[in-house]
Amino acid sequence: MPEAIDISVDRLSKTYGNLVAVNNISFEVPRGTIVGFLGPNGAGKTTTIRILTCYMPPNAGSARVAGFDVFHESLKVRENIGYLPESTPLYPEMRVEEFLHFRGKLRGMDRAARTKRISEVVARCWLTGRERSCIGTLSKGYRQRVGIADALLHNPRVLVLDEPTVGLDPAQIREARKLIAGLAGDHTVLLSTHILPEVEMVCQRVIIIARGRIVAQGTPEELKNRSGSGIRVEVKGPADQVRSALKAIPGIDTVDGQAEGSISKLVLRGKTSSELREQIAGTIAQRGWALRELRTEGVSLEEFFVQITDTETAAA
Amino acid sequence: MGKITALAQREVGSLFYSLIGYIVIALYLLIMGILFANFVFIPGMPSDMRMLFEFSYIALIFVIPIMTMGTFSEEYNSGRIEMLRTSPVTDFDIVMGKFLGAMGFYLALVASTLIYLLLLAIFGHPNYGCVQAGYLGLLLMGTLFVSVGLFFSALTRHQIIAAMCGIIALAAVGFFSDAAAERLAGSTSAPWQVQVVSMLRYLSFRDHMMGFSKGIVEVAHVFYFLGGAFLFLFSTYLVVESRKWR
Repeated sequence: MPEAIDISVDRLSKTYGNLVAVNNISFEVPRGTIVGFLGPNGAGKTTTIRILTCYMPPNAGSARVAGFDVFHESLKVRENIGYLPESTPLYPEMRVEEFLHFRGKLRGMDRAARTKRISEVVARCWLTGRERSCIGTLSKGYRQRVGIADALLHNPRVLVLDEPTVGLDPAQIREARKLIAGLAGDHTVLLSTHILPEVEMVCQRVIIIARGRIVAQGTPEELKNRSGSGIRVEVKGPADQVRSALKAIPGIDTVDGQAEGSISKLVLRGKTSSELREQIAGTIAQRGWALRELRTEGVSLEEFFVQITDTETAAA
Repeated sequence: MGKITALAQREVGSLFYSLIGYIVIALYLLIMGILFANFVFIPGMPSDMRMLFEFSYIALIFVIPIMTMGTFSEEYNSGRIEMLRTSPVTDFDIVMGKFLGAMGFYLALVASTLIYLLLLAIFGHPNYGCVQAGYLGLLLMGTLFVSVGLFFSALTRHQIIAAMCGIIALAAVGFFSDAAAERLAGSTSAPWQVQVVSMLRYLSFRDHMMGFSKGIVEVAHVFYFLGGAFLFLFSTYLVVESRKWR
Protein backbone atom coordinates (compact mmCIF):
# COMPACT_ATOMS: atom_id res chain seq x y z
CA MET A 1 0.00 0.00 0.00
CA PRO A 2 1.60 3.29 -1.09
CA GLU A 3 2.22 5.68 1.77
CA ALA A 4 -0.02 8.71 1.72
CA ILE A 5 1.96 11.89 1.31
CA ASP A 6 0.56 14.82 3.20
CA ILE A 7 3.04 17.51 2.23
CA SER A 8 4.80 17.48 -1.10
CA VAL A 9 6.98 20.27 -2.35
CA ASP A 10 8.23 20.30 -5.91
CA ARG A 11 11.00 22.64 -7.09
CA LEU A 12 9.71 25.48 -4.97
CA SER A 13 11.36 28.89 -5.29
CA LYS A 14 10.73 32.28 -3.77
CA THR A 15 12.62 35.51 -4.25
CA TYR A 16 12.21 38.80 -2.48
CA GLY A 17 13.43 41.25 -5.07
CA ASN A 18 17.03 40.20 -5.64
CA LEU A 19 17.27 37.93 -2.65
CA VAL A 20 16.60 34.27 -3.37
CA ALA A 21 15.05 33.00 -0.17
CA VAL A 22 14.07 29.54 -1.33
CA ASN A 23 15.94 27.96 -4.19
CA ASN A 24 14.36 25.06 -5.99
CA ILE A 25 13.58 22.80 -3.04
CA SER A 26 11.70 19.52 -3.12
CA PHE A 27 10.69 17.19 -0.34
CA GLU A 28 7.87 14.96 0.81
CA VAL A 29 6.33 14.26 4.17
CA PRO A 30 4.39 11.02 4.61
CA ARG A 31 1.16 11.03 6.55
CA GLY A 32 1.39 10.75 10.30
CA THR A 33 5.05 11.65 10.66
CA ILE A 34 6.58 14.45 12.63
CA VAL A 35 9.20 16.17 10.52
CA GLY A 36 11.77 18.54 11.92
CA PHE A 37 12.55 21.47 9.68
CA LEU A 38 15.96 22.80 10.63
CA GLY A 39 18.18 25.52 9.38
CA PRO A 40 20.26 28.50 10.39
CA ASN A 41 18.61 31.89 10.57
CA GLY A 42 17.77 33.25 7.17
CA ALA A 43 17.86 29.81 5.59
CA GLY A 44 14.37 30.02 4.18
CA LYS A 45 12.45 28.01 6.78
CA THR A 46 9.84 30.64 7.56
CA THR A 47 9.45 31.49 3.89
CA THR A 48 8.82 27.86 2.99
CA ILE A 49 6.35 27.55 5.83
CA ARG A 50 4.56 30.69 4.73
CA ILE A 51 4.21 29.27 1.26
CA LEU A 52 2.88 25.98 2.60
CA THR A 53 0.32 27.75 4.77
CA CYS A 54 -0.80 29.93 1.84
CA TYR A 55 0.35 33.19 3.36
CA MET A 56 2.28 33.97 0.19
CA PRO A 57 2.55 32.36 -3.23
CA PRO A 58 5.79 30.88 -4.60
CA ASN A 59 7.64 32.35 -7.56
CA ALA A 60 8.21 28.96 -9.13
CA GLY A 61 7.40 25.34 -8.43
CA SER A 62 4.45 23.96 -6.58
CA ALA A 63 3.43 22.51 -3.26
CA ARG A 64 0.60 20.28 -2.19
CA VAL A 65 -0.64 20.05 1.35
CA ALA A 66 -3.26 17.56 2.53
CA GLY A 67 -3.87 16.72 -1.11
CA PHE A 68 -4.57 20.27 -2.30
CA ASP A 69 -2.39 22.65 -4.27
CA VAL A 70 -1.38 25.72 -2.24
CA PHE A 71 -1.81 28.09 -5.13
CA HIS A 72 -4.86 26.81 -6.93
CA GLU A 73 -6.81 25.35 -4.02
CA SER A 74 -5.66 27.69 -1.32
CA LEU A 75 -8.92 27.79 0.62
CA LYS A 76 -9.04 23.99 0.85
CA VAL A 77 -5.47 23.86 2.07
CA ARG A 78 -6.24 26.39 4.77
CA GLU A 79 -9.23 24.39 5.91
CA ASN A 80 -7.00 21.38 6.51
CA ILE A 81 -4.05 23.03 8.12
CA GLY A 82 -3.35 24.23 11.64
CA TYR A 83 -0.60 26.84 11.84
CA LEU A 84 1.25 28.34 14.77
CA PRO A 85 3.40 31.24 13.51
CA GLU A 86 6.65 32.15 15.22
CA SER A 87 5.25 35.32 16.72
CA THR A 88 2.11 33.60 18.11
CA PRO A 89 -0.25 36.40 17.09
CA LEU A 90 -3.27 36.62 19.33
CA TYR A 91 -5.82 39.26 20.29
CA PRO A 92 -4.83 40.44 23.78
CA GLU A 93 -8.23 41.89 24.53
CA MET A 94 -10.09 38.64 23.95
CA ARG A 95 -10.60 35.87 26.45
CA VAL A 96 -9.20 32.44 25.65
CA GLU A 97 -12.61 30.86 25.18
CA GLU A 98 -13.86 33.82 23.14
CA PHE A 99 -10.80 33.64 20.93
CA LEU A 100 -11.20 29.93 20.31
CA HIS A 101 -14.88 30.41 19.47
CA PHE A 102 -13.90 33.13 17.01
CA ARG A 103 -11.31 30.90 15.37
CA GLY A 104 -13.82 28.07 15.21
CA LYS A 105 -16.34 30.29 13.48
CA LEU A 106 -13.75 31.30 10.92
CA ARG A 107 -13.28 27.64 10.13
CA GLY A 108 -16.97 27.09 9.64
CA MET A 109 -17.59 25.07 12.80
CA ASP A 110 -21.09 25.26 14.25
CA ARG A 111 -21.75 26.04 17.90
CA ALA A 112 -22.10 22.45 19.07
CA ALA A 113 -18.90 21.34 17.34
CA ARG A 114 -17.05 24.37 18.66
CA THR A 115 -18.07 23.89 22.26
CA LYS A 116 -17.11 20.23 22.18
CA ARG A 117 -13.74 20.76 20.49
CA ILE A 118 -12.85 23.72 22.68
CA SER A 119 -13.24 21.69 25.85
CA GLU A 120 -11.15 18.94 24.25
CA VAL A 121 -8.27 21.15 23.17
CA VAL A 122 -8.33 23.13 26.40
CA ALA A 123 -7.80 19.88 28.29
CA ARG A 124 -5.15 18.66 25.87
CA CYS A 125 -3.15 21.89 25.97
CA TRP A 126 -3.30 22.21 29.74
CA LEU A 127 -5.40 25.38 29.61
CA THR A 128 -8.07 24.20 32.04
CA GLY A 129 -9.08 26.97 34.39
CA ARG A 130 -7.79 29.70 32.08
CA GLU A 131 -10.67 29.78 29.62
CA ARG A 132 -12.00 33.07 30.98
CA SER A 133 -8.63 34.82 31.21
CA CYS A 134 -7.84 37.68 28.90
CA ILE A 135 -5.07 36.62 26.57
CA GLY A 136 -3.19 39.82 27.31
CA THR A 137 -2.76 38.72 30.93
CA LEU A 138 -1.29 35.33 30.13
CA SER A 139 2.39 34.45 30.26
CA LYS A 140 4.28 33.47 27.13
CA GLY A 141 3.95 29.80 27.97
CA TYR A 142 0.19 30.00 28.23
CA ARG A 143 -0.07 32.07 25.09
CA GLN A 144 1.90 29.46 23.22
CA ARG A 145 -0.57 26.86 24.46
CA VAL A 146 -3.47 28.97 23.25
CA GLY A 147 -1.77 29.11 19.87
CA ILE A 148 -1.39 25.34 19.81
CA ALA A 149 -4.99 24.92 20.93
CA ASP A 150 -6.05 27.16 18.08
CA ALA A 151 -4.01 25.11 15.61
CA LEU A 152 -5.57 21.87 16.87
CA LEU A 153 -9.11 23.19 17.13
CA HIS A 154 -10.52 21.90 13.89
CA ASN A 155 -8.56 18.67 14.05
CA PRO A 156 -6.58 19.38 10.90
CA ARG A 157 -4.68 16.73 9.06
CA VAL A 158 -1.55 18.81 8.88
CA LEU A 159 0.01 20.94 11.59
CA VAL A 160 2.72 23.48 10.97
CA LEU A 161 4.47 24.74 14.08
CA ASP A 162 7.09 27.45 13.74
CA GLU A 163 9.38 27.43 16.79
CA PRO A 164 6.68 26.46 19.26
CA THR A 165 8.94 26.18 22.29
CA VAL A 166 10.86 29.42 21.97
CA GLY A 167 10.60 31.58 25.08
CA LEU A 168 9.23 28.85 27.30
CA ASP A 169 10.79 27.82 30.57
CA PRO A 170 12.27 24.31 30.83
CA ALA A 171 9.21 22.77 32.45
CA GLN A 172 6.93 24.25 29.82
CA ILE A 173 9.26 23.11 27.06
CA ARG A 174 9.06 19.56 28.32
CA GLU A 175 5.27 19.67 28.36
CA ALA A 176 5.11 21.19 24.91
CA ARG A 177 7.37 18.48 23.50
CA LYS A 178 5.24 15.81 25.10
CA LEU A 179 2.22 17.37 23.49
CA ILE A 180 3.83 17.52 20.08
CA ALA A 181 5.22 14.00 20.25
CA GLY A 182 1.75 12.78 21.14
CA LEU A 183 0.41 14.17 17.89
CA ALA A 184 2.24 11.64 15.72
CA GLY A 185 0.05 9.21 13.83
CA ASP A 186 -3.12 11.24 14.01
CA HIS A 187 -1.63 14.33 12.45
CA THR A 188 1.23 15.15 10.13
CA VAL A 189 3.44 17.72 11.80
CA LEU A 190 6.03 20.03 10.28
CA LEU A 191 8.04 21.39 13.16
CA SER A 192 10.43 24.24 12.48
CA THR A 193 12.97 24.71 15.22
CA HIS A 194 16.48 25.64 16.23
CA ILE A 195 16.61 23.31 19.16
CA LEU A 196 18.35 20.17 17.98
CA PRO A 197 17.84 17.96 21.01
CA GLU A 198 14.14 18.65 20.54
CA VAL A 199 14.35 17.30 17.01
CA GLU A 200 16.06 14.13 18.18
CA MET A 201 13.43 13.63 20.85
CA VAL A 202 10.33 14.37 18.89
CA CYS A 203 10.88 13.99 15.15
CA GLN A 204 10.90 10.90 13.01
CA ARG A 205 12.45 12.68 10.06
CA VAL A 206 14.64 15.72 9.62
CA ILE A 207 15.02 18.15 6.75
CA ILE A 208 17.90 20.60 6.96
CA ILE A 209 17.75 23.74 4.88
CA ALA A 210 20.49 26.31 4.47
CA ARG A 211 20.67 29.32 2.20
CA GLY A 212 17.47 28.36 0.49
CA ARG A 213 18.50 24.81 -0.38
CA ILE A 214 17.92 21.47 1.25
CA VAL A 215 21.25 20.12 2.39
CA ALA A 216 20.19 16.96 4.18
CA GLN A 217 17.15 14.77 4.65
CA GLY A 218 16.58 11.60 6.61
CA THR A 219 15.93 10.14 10.01
CA PRO A 220 17.98 11.60 12.88
CA GLU A 221 19.91 8.31 13.05
CA GLU A 222 20.79 8.33 9.38
CA LEU A 223 22.05 11.88 9.57
CA LYS A 224 24.18 11.27 12.60
CA ASN A 225 25.78 8.22 10.99
CA ARG A 226 26.46 10.08 7.79
CA SER A 227 28.94 12.39 9.37
CA GLY A 228 31.46 9.66 9.72
CA SER A 229 31.49 8.95 13.39
CA GLY A 230 34.38 7.12 14.89
CA ILE A 231 34.87 3.82 16.62
CA ARG A 232 36.68 4.02 19.88
CA VAL A 233 39.03 1.16 20.60
CA GLU A 234 41.20 0.47 23.62
CA VAL A 235 43.60 -2.40 23.08
CA LYS A 236 46.40 -3.92 25.09
CA GLY A 237 49.20 -4.91 22.80
CA PRO A 238 52.36 -3.72 20.96
CA ALA A 239 51.45 -0.17 19.82
CA ASP A 240 52.80 -0.17 16.25
CA GLN A 241 51.49 -3.60 15.39
CA VAL A 242 48.06 -2.73 16.76
CA ARG A 243 47.97 0.40 14.64
CA SER A 244 48.98 -1.26 11.40
CA ALA A 245 46.74 -4.26 11.94
CA LEU A 246 43.70 -2.06 12.51
CA LYS A 247 44.58 0.21 9.60
CA ALA A 248 44.73 -2.84 7.38
CA ILE A 249 41.05 -3.71 8.00
CA PRO A 250 39.10 -2.91 4.82
CA GLY A 251 36.75 0.03 5.40
CA ILE A 252 38.92 1.84 7.89
CA ASP A 253 40.26 5.16 6.59
CA THR A 254 42.19 6.65 9.45
CA VAL A 255 43.49 5.58 12.80
CA ASP A 256 44.07 8.35 15.32
CA GLY A 257 45.03 8.34 18.93
CA GLN A 258 47.91 7.54 21.23
CA ALA A 259 49.49 4.64 22.94
CA GLU A 260 50.55 4.70 26.56
CA GLY A 261 52.98 1.88 26.96
CA SER A 262 51.10 -1.18 25.86
CA ILE A 263 47.64 0.42 26.01
CA SER A 264 46.53 1.98 22.73
CA LYS A 265 43.58 4.32 22.83
CA LEU A 266 42.54 4.83 19.24
CA VAL A 267 39.70 6.34 17.25
CA LEU A 268 39.07 4.65 13.93
CA ARG A 269 37.19 6.48 11.22
CA GLY A 270 35.66 5.00 8.16
CA LYS A 271 32.37 3.69 6.96
CA THR A 272 30.44 2.89 10.05
CA SER A 273 28.70 -0.42 10.12
CA SER A 274 28.18 -3.11 12.68
CA GLU A 275 30.29 -5.54 10.65
CA LEU A 276 33.22 -3.20 11.06
CA ARG A 277 33.08 -3.48 14.78
CA GLU A 278 32.88 -7.25 14.50
CA GLN A 279 35.89 -7.26 12.20
CA ILE A 280 37.86 -5.11 14.59
CA ALA A 281 37.00 -7.37 17.49
CA GLY A 282 37.85 -10.40 15.39
CA THR A 283 41.23 -9.03 14.29
CA ILE A 284 42.23 -8.16 17.84
CA ALA A 285 41.18 -11.56 19.14
CA GLN A 286 43.01 -13.33 16.31
CA ARG A 287 46.28 -11.62 17.17
CA GLY A 288 45.80 -12.46 20.82
CA TRP A 289 45.58 -8.92 22.10
CA ALA A 290 43.25 -7.85 24.89
CA LEU A 291 40.24 -5.79 23.86
CA ARG A 292 39.39 -3.37 26.63
CA GLU A 293 36.82 -1.12 24.91
CA LEU A 294 34.96 -1.07 21.62
CA ARG A 295 32.38 1.65 21.12
CA THR A 296 30.77 3.62 18.30
CA GLU A 297 31.17 7.26 19.01
CA GLY A 298 28.03 8.94 17.76
CA VAL A 299 28.28 12.43 16.47
CA SER A 300 25.42 14.47 17.81
CA LEU A 301 22.90 15.95 15.47
CA GLU A 302 24.21 19.33 16.48
CA GLU A 303 27.67 18.43 15.21
CA PHE A 304 26.24 17.21 11.96
CA PHE A 305 24.11 20.31 11.62
CA VAL A 306 27.05 22.65 12.15
CA GLN A 307 29.22 20.65 9.74
CA ILE A 308 26.69 20.55 6.99
CA THR A 309 25.55 24.13 7.24
CA ASP A 310 29.15 25.31 7.46
CA THR A 311 30.02 23.54 4.25
CA GLU A 312 27.01 25.02 2.60
CA THR A 313 27.96 28.51 3.73
CA ALA A 314 31.52 27.94 2.62
CA ALA A 315 30.44 26.62 -0.73
CA ALA A 316 28.06 29.53 -1.33
CA MET B 1 -21.78 34.61 5.65
CA GLY B 2 -21.03 33.28 9.07
CA LYS B 3 -17.37 34.10 8.67
CA ILE B 4 -18.02 37.74 7.81
CA THR B 5 -20.33 37.99 10.82
CA ALA B 6 -17.67 36.50 13.05
CA LEU B 7 -15.06 38.96 11.77
CA ALA B 8 -17.45 41.90 12.12
CA GLN B 9 -18.41 40.91 15.66
CA ARG B 10 -14.79 40.71 16.66
CA GLU B 11 -14.07 44.10 15.12
CA VAL B 12 -16.93 45.82 16.96
CA GLY B 13 -15.94 44.15 20.20
CA SER B 14 -12.38 45.29 19.78
CA LEU B 15 -13.42 48.89 19.17
CA PHE B 16 -15.62 48.90 22.24
CA TYR B 17 -12.84 47.36 24.30
CA SER B 18 -10.11 49.77 23.27
CA LEU B 19 -9.55 53.24 24.65
CA ILE B 20 -9.59 54.70 21.13
CA GLY B 21 -13.25 53.79 20.76
CA TYR B 22 -14.25 55.82 23.79
CA ILE B 23 -12.03 58.75 22.91
CA VAL B 24 -13.73 58.82 19.53
CA ILE B 25 -17.20 58.79 21.07
CA ALA B 26 -16.24 61.51 23.55
CA LEU B 27 -14.75 63.74 20.85
CA TYR B 28 -17.75 63.30 18.65
CA LEU B 29 -20.23 64.09 21.40
CA LEU B 30 -18.19 67.10 22.43
CA ILE B 31 -18.37 68.66 19.00
CA MET B 32 -21.98 67.70 18.43
CA GLY B 33 -22.86 68.99 21.87
CA ILE B 34 -21.34 72.38 21.11
CA LEU B 35 -23.27 72.52 17.83
CA PHE B 36 -26.47 71.49 19.55
CA ALA B 37 -26.17 73.98 22.37
CA ASN B 38 -25.29 76.92 20.12
CA PHE B 39 -27.37 76.36 17.04
CA VAL B 40 -30.30 74.20 17.97
CA PHE B 41 -31.28 74.15 21.60
CA ILE B 42 -32.09 77.82 21.88
CA PRO B 43 -35.45 79.06 23.11
CA GLY B 44 -37.44 80.47 20.25
CA MET B 45 -35.62 78.52 17.51
CA PRO B 46 -37.53 75.89 15.56
CA SER B 47 -36.99 72.38 16.94
CA ASP B 48 -35.00 71.48 13.93
CA MET B 49 -31.90 69.26 13.85
CA ARG B 50 -30.82 70.64 10.53
CA MET B 51 -27.74 72.42 11.81
CA LEU B 52 -26.54 69.29 13.49
CA PHE B 53 -26.74 67.25 10.32
CA GLU B 54 -25.29 69.96 8.14
CA PHE B 55 -22.24 70.47 10.29
CA SER B 56 -21.66 67.00 11.65
CA TYR B 57 -19.03 66.44 8.96
CA ILE B 58 -16.73 68.68 10.97
CA ALA B 59 -16.71 66.12 13.75
CA LEU B 60 -16.69 63.09 11.50
CA ILE B 61 -13.71 64.21 9.45
CA PHE B 62 -11.59 63.81 12.56
CA VAL B 63 -13.44 61.11 14.39
CA ILE B 64 -13.83 58.42 11.74
CA PRO B 65 -10.21 58.19 10.55
CA ILE B 66 -9.17 57.88 14.19
CA MET B 67 -11.74 55.17 14.72
CA THR B 68 -10.60 53.16 11.71
CA MET B 69 -6.87 53.81 11.93
CA GLY B 70 -6.06 50.56 13.64
CA THR B 71 -8.31 48.26 11.65
CA PHE B 72 -5.65 47.01 9.26
CA SER B 73 -2.59 48.78 10.59
CA GLU B 74 -2.68 46.93 13.90
CA GLU B 75 -3.06 43.61 12.15
CA TYR B 76 0.05 44.29 10.08
CA ASN B 77 1.95 45.58 13.06
CA SER B 78 1.22 42.70 15.38
CA GLY B 79 1.63 39.93 12.83
CA ARG B 80 -1.99 38.94 13.22
CA ILE B 81 -2.46 39.42 9.50
CA GLU B 82 -0.54 36.19 9.11
CA MET B 83 -3.06 34.39 11.28
CA LEU B 84 -5.97 35.89 9.31
CA ARG B 85 -4.42 35.17 5.95
CA THR B 86 -3.74 31.54 6.76
CA SER B 87 -7.31 30.96 7.93
CA PRO B 88 -9.90 29.69 5.47
CA VAL B 89 -11.30 33.16 4.79
CA THR B 90 -11.06 35.12 1.57
CA ASP B 91 -9.71 38.67 1.33
CA PHE B 92 -13.24 39.75 0.54
CA ASP B 93 -14.44 38.23 3.83
CA ILE B 94 -11.74 40.09 5.70
CA VAL B 95 -12.50 43.48 4.14
CA MET B 96 -16.27 43.10 4.46
CA GLY B 97 -15.95 41.89 8.03
CA LYS B 98 -13.85 44.88 9.04
CA PHE B 99 -16.12 47.28 7.19
CA LEU B 100 -19.28 45.95 8.79
CA GLY B 101 -17.62 45.94 12.18
CA ALA B 102 -16.59 49.58 11.81
CA MET B 103 -20.08 50.47 10.60
CA GLY B 104 -21.52 48.74 13.63
CA PHE B 105 -19.47 50.97 15.89
CA TYR B 106 -20.43 54.00 13.80
CA LEU B 107 -24.09 53.15 14.29
CA ALA B 108 -23.57 53.22 18.03
CA LEU B 109 -21.81 56.56 17.64
CA VAL B 110 -24.68 58.06 15.68
CA ALA B 111 -27.24 56.53 18.03
CA SER B 112 -25.72 58.54 20.87
CA THR B 113 -27.11 61.70 19.24
CA LEU B 114 -30.64 60.44 19.74
CA ILE B 115 -30.51 62.18 23.08
CA TYR B 116 -30.70 65.49 21.25
CA LEU B 117 -33.79 64.29 19.46
CA LEU B 118 -35.25 63.30 22.78
CA LEU B 119 -34.61 66.74 24.23
CA LEU B 120 -36.18 68.40 21.22
CA ALA B 121 -39.20 66.12 21.47
CA ILE B 122 -39.67 67.05 25.12
CA PHE B 123 -39.44 70.77 24.55
CA GLY B 124 -40.77 71.13 21.05
CA HIS B 125 -42.24 69.43 18.02
CA PRO B 126 -39.53 68.17 15.70
CA ASN B 127 -40.48 67.12 12.21
CA TYR B 128 -39.76 63.40 12.31
CA GLY B 129 -39.69 63.02 8.53
CA CYS B 130 -36.90 65.54 8.28
CA VAL B 131 -35.06 63.91 11.13
CA GLN B 132 -35.23 60.53 9.44
CA ALA B 133 -33.82 61.99 6.24
CA GLY B 134 -31.09 63.65 8.23
CA TYR B 135 -30.06 60.44 9.94
CA LEU B 136 -30.09 58.61 6.61
CA GLY B 137 -27.71 61.21 5.23
CA LEU B 138 -25.53 60.84 8.30
CA LEU B 139 -25.37 57.09 7.85
CA LEU B 140 -24.55 57.37 4.18
CA MET B 141 -21.84 59.91 4.82
CA GLY B 142 -20.48 57.63 7.51
CA THR B 143 -20.34 54.76 5.03
CA LEU B 144 -18.19 56.87 2.75
CA PHE B 145 -15.93 58.13 5.53
CA VAL B 146 -15.45 54.67 7.01
CA SER B 147 -14.40 53.27 3.64
CA VAL B 148 -11.90 56.09 3.24
CA GLY B 149 -10.57 55.40 6.73
CA LEU B 150 -10.25 51.68 6.03
CA PHE B 151 -8.43 52.37 2.78
CA PHE B 152 -5.74 54.40 4.46
CA SER B 153 -5.48 51.89 7.27
CA ALA B 154 -4.83 49.12 4.76
CA LEU B 155 -2.04 51.08 3.14
CA THR B 156 0.26 51.33 6.12
CA ARG B 157 1.29 49.58 9.30
CA HIS B 158 1.51 52.89 11.14
CA GLN B 159 -1.84 53.83 12.64
CA ILE B 160 -0.98 57.48 13.04
CA ILE B 161 -0.14 57.84 9.37
CA ALA B 162 -3.37 56.13 8.42
CA ALA B 163 -5.34 58.51 10.65
CA MET B 164 -3.51 61.59 9.38
CA CYS B 165 -3.92 60.69 5.74
CA GLY B 166 -7.59 59.99 6.28
CA ILE B 167 -8.14 63.29 8.04
CA ILE B 168 -6.20 65.25 5.43
CA ALA B 169 -8.00 63.60 2.52
CA LEU B 170 -11.44 64.20 4.00
CA ALA B 171 -10.58 67.71 5.15
CA ALA B 172 -9.22 68.61 1.72
CA VAL B 173 -12.47 67.66 0.13
CA GLY B 174 -14.71 68.89 2.92
CA PHE B 175 -13.17 72.26 3.59
CA PHE B 176 -11.49 73.16 0.35
CA SER B 177 -13.37 71.62 -2.49
CA ASP B 178 -16.13 74.19 -2.29
CA ALA B 179 -13.76 77.09 -1.86
CA ALA B 180 -11.64 75.89 -4.77
CA ALA B 181 -14.72 75.62 -6.92
CA GLU B 182 -15.78 79.15 -5.96
CA ARG B 183 -12.40 80.65 -6.80
CA LEU B 184 -12.12 78.91 -10.11
CA ALA B 185 -15.71 79.67 -11.06
CA GLY B 186 -14.95 83.38 -10.89
CA SER B 187 -12.12 83.28 -13.40
CA THR B 188 -13.31 80.79 -15.99
CA SER B 189 -15.28 80.86 -19.16
CA ALA B 190 -14.10 77.98 -21.36
CA PRO B 191 -16.41 74.95 -21.31
CA TRP B 192 -13.73 72.53 -20.05
CA GLN B 193 -12.94 74.82 -17.18
CA VAL B 194 -16.59 74.95 -16.28
CA GLN B 195 -16.55 71.15 -16.26
CA VAL B 196 -13.61 71.08 -13.85
CA VAL B 197 -15.42 73.44 -11.54
CA SER B 198 -18.55 71.33 -11.58
CA MET B 199 -16.47 68.19 -10.94
CA LEU B 200 -14.89 69.82 -7.92
CA ARG B 201 -18.32 70.81 -6.77
CA TYR B 202 -19.53 67.27 -7.19
CA LEU B 203 -16.77 65.92 -5.00
CA SER B 204 -17.82 67.97 -2.05
CA PHE B 205 -19.83 65.90 0.35
CA ARG B 206 -21.17 68.99 2.05
CA ASP B 207 -23.27 69.74 -0.98
CA HIS B 208 -24.57 66.21 -1.07
CA MET B 209 -25.38 66.25 2.60
CA MET B 210 -27.30 69.50 2.29
CA GLY B 211 -30.36 67.82 0.85
CA PHE B 212 -30.55 65.24 3.63
CA SER B 213 -30.23 67.80 6.37
CA LYS B 214 -33.12 69.73 4.90
CA GLY B 215 -35.20 66.61 4.87
CA ILE B 216 -34.98 65.78 1.17
CA VAL B 217 -33.82 62.39 0.03
CA GLU B 218 -32.50 62.59 -3.50
CA VAL B 219 -31.38 59.37 -5.15
CA ALA B 220 -28.51 61.13 -6.88
CA HIS B 221 -26.98 62.01 -3.54
CA VAL B 222 -27.51 58.47 -2.22
CA PHE B 223 -25.55 57.22 -5.21
CA TYR B 224 -22.75 59.66 -4.54
CA PHE B 225 -22.21 58.30 -1.06
CA LEU B 226 -22.69 54.64 -1.92
CA GLY B 227 -20.64 54.91 -5.08
CA GLY B 228 -17.83 56.60 -3.22
CA ALA B 229 -17.96 53.98 -0.49
CA PHE B 230 -17.83 51.21 -3.07
CA LEU B 231 -14.85 52.82 -4.75
CA PHE B 232 -12.86 52.99 -1.55
CA LEU B 233 -13.89 49.56 -0.35
CA PHE B 234 -12.86 48.02 -3.63
CA SER B 235 -9.56 49.85 -3.45
CA THR B 236 -9.08 48.55 0.07
CA TYR B 237 -9.71 45.03 -1.19
CA LEU B 238 -7.12 45.51 -3.92
CA VAL B 239 -4.55 46.81 -1.47
CA VAL B 240 -5.11 43.93 0.94
CA GLU B 241 -4.98 41.38 -1.83
CA SER B 242 -1.84 42.87 -3.34
CA ARG B 243 0.10 42.48 -0.10
CA LYS B 244 0.57 38.79 -0.60
CA TRP B 245 2.47 39.33 -3.81
CA ARG B 246 5.16 41.45 -2.23
